[in-house]
Amino acid sequence: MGTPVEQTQTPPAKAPALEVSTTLVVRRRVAFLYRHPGVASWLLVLPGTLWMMLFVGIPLASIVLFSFWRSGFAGLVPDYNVENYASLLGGRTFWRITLWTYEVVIMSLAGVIVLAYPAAYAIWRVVRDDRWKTAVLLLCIVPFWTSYLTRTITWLPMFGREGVVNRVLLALGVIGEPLEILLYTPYSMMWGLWSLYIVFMIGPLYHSMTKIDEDVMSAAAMLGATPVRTFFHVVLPLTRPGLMAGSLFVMVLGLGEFFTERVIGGAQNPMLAGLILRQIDIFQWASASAIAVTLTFLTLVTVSAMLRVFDLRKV
Amino acid sequence: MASVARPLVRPLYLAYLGFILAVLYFPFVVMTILSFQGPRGGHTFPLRGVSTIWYWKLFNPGKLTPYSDVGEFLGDYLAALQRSVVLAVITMLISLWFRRMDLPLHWLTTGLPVHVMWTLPFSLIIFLMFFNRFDTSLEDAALILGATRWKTFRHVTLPLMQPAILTSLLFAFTLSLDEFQRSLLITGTDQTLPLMVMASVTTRITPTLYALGTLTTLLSFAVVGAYLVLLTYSLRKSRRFVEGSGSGVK
Repeated sequence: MGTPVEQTQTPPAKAPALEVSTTLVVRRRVAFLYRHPGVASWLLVLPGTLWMMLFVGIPLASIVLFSFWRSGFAGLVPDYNVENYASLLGGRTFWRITLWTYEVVIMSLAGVIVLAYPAAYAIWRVVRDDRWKTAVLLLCIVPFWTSYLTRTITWLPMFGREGVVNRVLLALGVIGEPLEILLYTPYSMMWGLWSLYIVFMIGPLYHSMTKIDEDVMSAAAMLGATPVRTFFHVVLPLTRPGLMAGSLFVMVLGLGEFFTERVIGGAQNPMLAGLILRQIDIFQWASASAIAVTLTFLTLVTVSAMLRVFDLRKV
Repeated sequence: MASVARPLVRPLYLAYLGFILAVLYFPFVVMTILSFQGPRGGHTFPLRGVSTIWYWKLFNPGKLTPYSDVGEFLGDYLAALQRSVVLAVITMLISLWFRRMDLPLHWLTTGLPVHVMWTLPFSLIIFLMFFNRFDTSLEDAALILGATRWKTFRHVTLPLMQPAILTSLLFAFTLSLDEFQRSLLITGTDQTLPLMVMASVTTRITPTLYALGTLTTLLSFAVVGAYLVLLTYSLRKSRRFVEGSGSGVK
């Protein structure tokens, strides 16, 4: 939270430059803030923090509270117990589903990274005109302005047994009978997730590629590095912030994923978020809350572990 | 660009980019075709005739006969809009809380906070990413040259931040619009999200969904087109103003 603020802090040595013509009270107060950057950063962080406290903190706190209640016939009953967690963490199902969730999220992250790097690289180096770069980037983003729900459902007519892909392949004689693997399988879910998340990787990657100094690239070329070597020794290290931001996006979105699993994955193997919905479907609000709290906790742990590996706030 | 400009690599990369775009746009081709599904057709192939009935239904939810005048249509449409901006997917958890507080469901009470809550972290990450490459010596230079704090911010920091602001706007817009449509599809306030999902997965998918998708895409293209025109204009202006700082392309 602190970092966007740091750049407005005054390096102590430059503070006098400000005080040339300050007699007004306001100016003095402002000057006070510059001399005490700590106070200033707290003030700058305050609105966002309050907002998040209000709209994330309170609901989250109530979910934590609900997770210790009991689901009755008419809703939640304030009857404190740890039964929800005991049955959740004690059962094998939960751990199997957690493992599966991470499997899916890590696979989708890996796939998205592999797919997005060449695309971002192509926009950055191969597309020449600045306007074309922007145009291509926007073209990548436009599909994501249409609801994720709609896009996911379109997979049914595309990849179903009677879908476009199967029909075209049949007509071309590539396959003898409709492929069953295209829909309602873990594979189809994976492809679905890749296509849903790819832009969240291309965007940050491209953004941090444009920050690479052209001279660095020329230097690498002049010193005789092959494109592959340049990629691994220059581009990859320098785009780590973008890679990290993209990974965070995909990770967080993936951990909350439930719809793709239901529609494209065929609702065979629920992930954690899907498990919450299944609990709500059968009116088990308390145990749904317990799963939600656990999922939130897991997400927090995952994100902080990722930030531990590479801190976005540092170069 | 020398290292990449070898004869084979360039077309290869462009072909890959084309492939990615093709994959991203394939659903929209299917969506557009299916949005003209005949009145008796469903949400998958085959097409049973061709009609624009689903577009009509999109603007006339719950109506069986056409409107008699525009005022009636507008009133109904606005009411539907107001009613339908319900809690979005990520707010599934929050909905419990809102229900307890008995807030009227309106975009200012429940919609806006939820959308900001949902998009703020993404913007924050974009800005974090940006600031870790931020060259503070430029600010120092401005300060040494006698600029006030405000002037430094206005004329040095803010222009440098422009790409980050644009990127974060784009992401926030993408995420928020997605949520908005998702909640727009939920008609009626008392439907909880899982019910909606269940319903939409099992019975309620109609080509109206595709009609909405097609219209959104067309609108998006219009917005992007307008943006590109503006960008060209501002690029021309800034090129006149200063040559070769920052992005370093050509």
